[in-house]
Amino acid sequence: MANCKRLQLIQLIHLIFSNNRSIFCVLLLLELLNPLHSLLGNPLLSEENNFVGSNQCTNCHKNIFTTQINSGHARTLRKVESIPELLKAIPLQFFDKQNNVKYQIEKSPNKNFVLDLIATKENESNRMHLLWGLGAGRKGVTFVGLTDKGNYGQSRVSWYQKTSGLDVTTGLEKQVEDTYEALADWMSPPQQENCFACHTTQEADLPPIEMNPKNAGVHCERCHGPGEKHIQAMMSDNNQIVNTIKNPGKMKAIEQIYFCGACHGVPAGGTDLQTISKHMGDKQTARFPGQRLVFSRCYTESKGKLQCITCHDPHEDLVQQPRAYDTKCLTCHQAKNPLLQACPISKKDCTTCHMPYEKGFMTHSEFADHWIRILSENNSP
Amino acid sequence: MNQKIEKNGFWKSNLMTNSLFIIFLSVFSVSKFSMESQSQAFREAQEKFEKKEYLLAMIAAQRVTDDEKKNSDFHHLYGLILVQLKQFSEASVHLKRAVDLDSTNAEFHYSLAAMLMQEQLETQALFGPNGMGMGKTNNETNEIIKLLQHTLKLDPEHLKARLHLGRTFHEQNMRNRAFQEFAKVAEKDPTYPWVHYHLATIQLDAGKLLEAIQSFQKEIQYHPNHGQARLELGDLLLQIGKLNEALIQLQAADQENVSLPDLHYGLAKVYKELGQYKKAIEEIRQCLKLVSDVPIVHQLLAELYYQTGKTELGNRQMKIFQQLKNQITTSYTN
Repeated sequence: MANCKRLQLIQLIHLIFSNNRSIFCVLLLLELLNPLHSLLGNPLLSEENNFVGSNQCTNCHKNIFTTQINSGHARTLRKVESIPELLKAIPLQFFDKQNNVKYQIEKSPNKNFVLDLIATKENESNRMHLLWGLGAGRKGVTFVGLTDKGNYGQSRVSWYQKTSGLDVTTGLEKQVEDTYEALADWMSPPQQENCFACHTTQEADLPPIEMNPKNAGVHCERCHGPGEKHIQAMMSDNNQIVNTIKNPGKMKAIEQIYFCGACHGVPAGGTDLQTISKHMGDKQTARFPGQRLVFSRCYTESKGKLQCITCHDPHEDLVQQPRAYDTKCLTCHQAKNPLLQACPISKKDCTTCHMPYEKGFMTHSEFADHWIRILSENNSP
Repeated sequence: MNQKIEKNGFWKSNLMTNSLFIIFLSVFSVSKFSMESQSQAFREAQEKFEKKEYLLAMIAAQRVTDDEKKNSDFHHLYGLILVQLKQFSEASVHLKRAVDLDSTNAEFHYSLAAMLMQEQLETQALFGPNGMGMGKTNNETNEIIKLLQHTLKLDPEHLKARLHLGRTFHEQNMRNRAFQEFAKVAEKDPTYPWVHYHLATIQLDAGKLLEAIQSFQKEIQYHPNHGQARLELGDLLLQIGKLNEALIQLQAADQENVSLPDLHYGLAKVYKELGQYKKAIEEIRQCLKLVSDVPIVHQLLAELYYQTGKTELGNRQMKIFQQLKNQITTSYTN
């Protein structure tokens, strides 16, 4: 809290003296000066580097912040009541024929919660209060909820964008004994942490009910690291900003693939034949672009030029129109360069043929295969 | 008369005392003999166990455990011997008995956890990770975690238990927990075998490539004979383009007991990048002798043939690559 106030103070001083912004800032500054004595006790330049919250970044990086806050990364974890597409679709029902279980999502009778998932089989039913929706909603949203007994679970049914309805969550298509088992894949705290680690900016280890919505989703500090030192350095006279913030955009290609791969699939080691074979043969790995991209000639022959951010801006929502990627492909594959043949079939929508969507292994979802290649009839490179 | 009576009385009372004394002596010597013979049998079992003569150790330990059912050490040793003989069910009975008899002994808890881990590994080796419904179950893993945590509660310095706890967490994808345990081991004893290796694998999973490289380097610094760490490090150095350093590591790993196909493949890749195609082809041929059904090995050989102008051979290898790739794709799809 003290850190937060300290930063607000620094930023206000900065705003006033550098931009002569407004009297409002002066008033706020006076408000903040009140507890100044306590702040002076702590040296402003501490050794620790703390998270300051992505809102702090907006002062200097307004455009990028505004774009990022609406991106899929930012939406990858939301309180269920903040998922408009879900709220629109309520009440939701689904019948799992395999297990003879009826699912409903409806308004919670408990005042502390908004939505409940109810599983009913014959005369027995069980209920879980829904807390969070995992997934940006482009493909679907899986829920994490809590029972009255305090157990956390990943819902056995998810909401899918394609059908705007519920269906069984991928990976949980199993026989269930009773309605409790039908409700969710019950998670221990470390399992929760493991899931939330890719969906939060910090504090993934907190019990889901205690998580701050401000930390939900992937925001600035998830990839760039804690921002406190960076802001302190920017506000100080000497402006020594070197090494105060991480910039994954400057990483080498392979380093970046590993970095992004922490959530999007770390590639197999270059000599791990068994894992390489699995990643190559198992089409389900199309879900993890990092594991497939490394097989592409485009990647190996670019000698480090082709990396994740060549095509994707992680601050933006994912661009889904194939045409948008054509310029990236044509940067190298142009007729002028005899070594990099231009495609004899087409000069547009390259990804449609060379990065086809893989489907069928995840409910109502398909994934662009990042193993960029010339596919023959039998899908061979 | 009185004297006679007194004498008789004296003798009678003496006789009684002596008899009692003799009985006591004989009971004492029998029990002492029995204890000595037990401890001798226990020592024998222990010696045989240490010499890895497990069958003989088992016979000795079985005898001593049958005689003395309430000795936790006996049950523990017998359990450990049975683990070596892969008699896991029986081993589990004795290791659990040892824990029940002395629940304050950290080593007993650890041994039971280690047995469960080994049983899981053996099952996986036979049936695959999820094969035949005999793969790891959550309950088993939770039991292992509980036992290891209990071991550490009793003895926080039990680094072996901590390392295994970290490994179990990592297998469960609980990266942070695993990292914390490995970090504690490394802090306590930076030279502890495998600890930097495991830290590196977690760093890799977390996308921290350069940190992982540093950890592998540390592992090798403390354990220059750690071939697997050298192989992994060589692999990463190759990936980041430090070819000469990669070559040094892979060549050093060659001396150790590592997965040879992976090593030959790695060396082939480095030689290819260094433009030493002849050596690269030699390595890939060695690799093919060991594994002929891995598509990318044929792909690399094809590339090497193309590089050296042997187009026909290259095409042939490319064809094999495509066939094998389709085969594995089909096998995964089915």
